Amino acid sequence: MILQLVTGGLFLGCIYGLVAMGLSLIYGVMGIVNFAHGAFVMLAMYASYWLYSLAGLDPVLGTPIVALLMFGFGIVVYRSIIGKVLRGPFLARLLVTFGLGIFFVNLAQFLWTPDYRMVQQSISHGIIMLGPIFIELPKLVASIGSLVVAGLVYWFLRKTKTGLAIQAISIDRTAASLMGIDLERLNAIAFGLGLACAGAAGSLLASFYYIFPDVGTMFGLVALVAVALGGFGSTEGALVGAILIGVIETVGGFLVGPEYKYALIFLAYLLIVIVRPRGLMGWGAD
Amino acid sequence: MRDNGQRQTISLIAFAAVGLVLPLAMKARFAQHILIMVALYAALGEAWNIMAGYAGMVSIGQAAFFGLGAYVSAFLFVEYNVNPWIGFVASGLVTAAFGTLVGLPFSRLRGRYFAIGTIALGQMIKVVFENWQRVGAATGLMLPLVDEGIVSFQFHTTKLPYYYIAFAMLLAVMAFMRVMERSRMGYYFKAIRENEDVASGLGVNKTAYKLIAIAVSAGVTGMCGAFLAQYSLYVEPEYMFNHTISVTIALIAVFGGAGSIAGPILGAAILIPMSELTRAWLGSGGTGIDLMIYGAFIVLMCVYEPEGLMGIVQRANRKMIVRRERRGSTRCPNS
Repeated sequence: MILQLVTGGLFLGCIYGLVAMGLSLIYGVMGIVNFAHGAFVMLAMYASYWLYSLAGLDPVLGTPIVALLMFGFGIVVYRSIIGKVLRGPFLARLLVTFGLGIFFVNLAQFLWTPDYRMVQQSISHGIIMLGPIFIELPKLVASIGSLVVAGLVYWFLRKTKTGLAIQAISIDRTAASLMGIDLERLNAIAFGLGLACAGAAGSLLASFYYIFPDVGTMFGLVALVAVALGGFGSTEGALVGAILIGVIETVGGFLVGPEYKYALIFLAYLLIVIVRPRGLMGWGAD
Repeated sequence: MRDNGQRQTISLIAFAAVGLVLPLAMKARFAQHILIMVALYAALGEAWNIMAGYAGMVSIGQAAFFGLGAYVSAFLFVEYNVNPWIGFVASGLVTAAFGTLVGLPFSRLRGRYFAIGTIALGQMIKVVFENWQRVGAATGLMLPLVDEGIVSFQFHTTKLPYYYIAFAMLLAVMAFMRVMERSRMGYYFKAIRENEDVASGLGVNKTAYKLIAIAVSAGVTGMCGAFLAQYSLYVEPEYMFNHTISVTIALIAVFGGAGSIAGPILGAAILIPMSELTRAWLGSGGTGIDLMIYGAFIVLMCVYEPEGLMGIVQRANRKMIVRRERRGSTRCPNS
């Protein structure tokens, strides 16, 4: 039974991990805590839903398209809004994404009503048995997909010139700009990449999850806690934190009661962060 | 020319006078409702300002204190028939104690970790109240109607007394902050905000002062919650612990100008009527347009006026001083 729960938790954790990775990337590069991340996951889920119902494209197969769309959308949002508050005071940087989140959630409510939607007949459905463990195929596919995308982003950051430049910025912004790195261009790319992660995660989620305007809010909050748990600025920490949270949610939810699962996540965050105020793998001042 | 402190006292008295006569000019029930909400949220913004604007601990979980305060007075009234005024004071004491209790571990957290910790706290306490049968779980508590009067803290024929209670709360917080600003405590708060390591190196007991800031802020926020419980005669977790309340409180202070007494009042005076009016005009049917406008407004504000409205006021002030000096005045401005 515990094995079953842990497996479920790991699957969930992988998807959280992808969302959290995007969040961590954005924070690492430009110091913005993206409170609108959940809203972007939600927008990606709707994009995936419309691709499915208008063009008949399965959400899992549509993942690259949605990720690409969200990347472009991220660049636009960065150029029009985020880039302009980067030099502003701490509180403006903290609140601007709150505004974005409220805006997009209610835009979705206005455009698509609060009704629940769902993708029927996704290509990944059914349950397979692995020894004593039931595995829901859509969740397995989504978590593998998440790990693949996370791997790609990791490869991009570690092996390409642009990726290395992005890392250089997150380590020392001033030194990086003195070395001739174009901060504005790379900030935009990093923001786009962060949203692409949210987009891929949203598209993978759309294959088995209900879609409604507020769906992303909890994903965003949980991912935020995962990032803080792992430590702001650490991409690997975000993934580790997210997987830990996935397991806490499913195992704790079973032991204490499903209605308390989010309370348990937040409690775990507080307990860990009180012992280690910078998260498990974090560095930097705050 | 008068010194800064005297000028502040005079503005405070002028503000009180305007606030006292304002509802006499605005007699419509809806207009008075908006006035009550402005006064309430201005007080909430000031309370947020004490811990965030002055002591530098940015909270996005004030709804935890707000909801707890509302529940304390409502529960005492519904279950034990305790007079709402006693419940009102009890709310302040309980939330202040609660703030100190959670503040102890929280005072180790900084910046973003603190902010996210407060979000976590707000969500946790909401879940607890949603599942706590003794306080009505997700349905909440309905406060019984009693004869109206100042003793029973219920008014049915007119909203005016509610306004004066909220306004008195606001004035009390403002007076406290006015004293705090010039006291040793106020300077310690600012020192902690600017650099807590240096502050504690200079001998400021940072944990103690952080706890005081949290306790005062929580206590005032809890009493505001108790007030709203009494005003709406209904408490439920979804409403009282709503994350939007936390964001709105922070926003009002930031929008007006964090770290000043006038800031949250300016912020509330503009944001609350805007949100109440758009909700009344466009909010019916749950289309979300009202909150869409609200969200867009936050974004525009952060992009174009990141220092808050107080930034505009200060710029105008500076311009005036420059103009006065250009006119060739030889008088020393501080004499």
